Amino acid sequence: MAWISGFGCTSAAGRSKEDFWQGLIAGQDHSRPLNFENWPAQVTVPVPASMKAYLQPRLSEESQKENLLLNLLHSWQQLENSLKSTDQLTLRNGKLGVILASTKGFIDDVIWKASVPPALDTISPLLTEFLKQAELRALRTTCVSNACASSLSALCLAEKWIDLGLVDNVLILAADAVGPFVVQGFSSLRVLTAEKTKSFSKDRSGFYLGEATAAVLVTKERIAEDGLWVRSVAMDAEGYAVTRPSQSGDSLRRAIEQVLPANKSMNLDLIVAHGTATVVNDSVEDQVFSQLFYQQGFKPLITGTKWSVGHTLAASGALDLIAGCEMLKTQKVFSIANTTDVDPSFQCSYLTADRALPQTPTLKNFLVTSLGFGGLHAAAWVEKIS
Amino acid sequence: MIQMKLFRQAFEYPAKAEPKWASTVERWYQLDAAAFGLVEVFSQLKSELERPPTFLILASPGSSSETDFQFVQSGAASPSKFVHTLPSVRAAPLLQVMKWQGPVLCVQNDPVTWLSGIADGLSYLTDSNALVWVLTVHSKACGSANNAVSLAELSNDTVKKKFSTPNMETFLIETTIPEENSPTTQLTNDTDFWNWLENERKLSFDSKAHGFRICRHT
Repeated sequence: MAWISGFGCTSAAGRSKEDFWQGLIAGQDHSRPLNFENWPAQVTVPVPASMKAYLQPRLSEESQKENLLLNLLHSWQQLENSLKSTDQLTLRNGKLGVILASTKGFIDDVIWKASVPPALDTISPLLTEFLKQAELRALRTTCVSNACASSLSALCLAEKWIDLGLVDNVLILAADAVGPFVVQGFSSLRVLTAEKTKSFSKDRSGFYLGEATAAVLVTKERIAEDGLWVRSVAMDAEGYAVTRPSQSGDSLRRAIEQVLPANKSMNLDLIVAHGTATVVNDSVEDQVFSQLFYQQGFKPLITGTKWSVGHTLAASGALDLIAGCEMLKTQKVFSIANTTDVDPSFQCSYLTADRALPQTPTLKNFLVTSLGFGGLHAAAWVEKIS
Repeated sequence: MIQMKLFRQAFEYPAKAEPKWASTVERWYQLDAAAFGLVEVFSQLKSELERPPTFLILASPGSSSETDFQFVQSGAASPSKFVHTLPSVRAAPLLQVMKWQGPVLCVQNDPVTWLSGIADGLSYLTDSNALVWVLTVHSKACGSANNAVSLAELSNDTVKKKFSTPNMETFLIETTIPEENSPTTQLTNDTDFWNWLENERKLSFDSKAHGFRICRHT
């Protein structure tokens, strides 16, 4: 039994969860030109000019490590400030676990200058530094690197630590940055779009990258009035291919099936889909949602966040989780504002730009899905308990 | 009491000949050292393993730094190198050769990645049927004497098994650490843990920071 008791984030929308949320409901696409001049001088391979228009810039001029650390601390501060003072004390003095979810977000400061491979991973020292600067004492820490499913995989581990009584509370941190390493890499894979991120659109052509940090507090006891209960979270891997899920979507389906209520009463209100706007991924998500819900007579609303803040890689699941929680708290939904024409082969119904949003949606729950390289997938079901 | 069967095996990379499992993994020759090593060692080991795991942890000391370095050194334009800069990607060829699908958690926590991977593996021994694998690639680039893979098979079964493979040993793990004390060695990093496994014969290992004690099954 675990509760989401607080969260904070920074993203291209700004340095607060409110900026992120207001951008989503206002339909704001926060992409803007990159400033390559501030990137490591060692980068010699030019980034294709067609990408410059829609990629996210760094949020500040500091080095990548300092930038992400500052923003992680800022996300944590938002979270801590949202807690009552008694809960802040309980958190700081209690049995705390901390998990950092990331992919390559911290690597650029190190890798371009290296003459030999770094001996230690680049993520763990950031977690150590975060704990020091936040003055937090953790009984248990680790870093999860399940690619773009890292945040939800961290939530799986957090729930396990709490269930076993190893800790009472887990702070999930998530961070990834846009730097030359990932831009070059994803460019080589031809998944970066020169257009906009149009999840589930008939003319989707990939995503632009985004930079974000997030802090999500998961607790054994319900301490927030919002009552956001993690009903279930699960992960599954299929190893079908390195960069894409199987056409059948078997692994994603298994991950989702594990989080469905035991009695199969799938009265699901909303899905925050991964929605990378790549041809294969969106198609697989649609197929799985259709089989599990639409063909069974359930028609949850489906939306996503990548059109607004880009694909924030390991942090994307945490941002989607935060967006879902905000929807439950405010009883407002947002559309996929860059998408007007859904792929005609798709079976599900999406909240597109031209679709009227329900004014009184009465949302009680939502599902988040994440798909990661290596065929690692995850899903979480969150409910609002009155 | 929990049993840990530990297998360690060195591997050569790059391969000098086509591996036996080559037909199972598309473009096997593009695998990085870690991905290759996991598949190669699993293939050598599989006859010793009784059944597939219920949960799999990939604990990656050094993350993918060797491949990260090669990606940059080669001009940062190779998609096949880039994909292996994500530690999770090494799960894909392994699962193909294992013919297995299920939950996989990729962790890194240097300098205690291996230790904390085992600690998290213990968390997933939720019932009597649970069998957790903690797979770790020890890379020369990250200080290991040679490229090697360790497979820690965690189970609630305490009946000692006999193995035909010389590099396999059995350990017992206590997850509740008593206050009183038989001789122990407290270790704080993966390298010391490795040395302890190699050299010590009598002492038990105590990792209070990660919540378990381990000793040789005699």
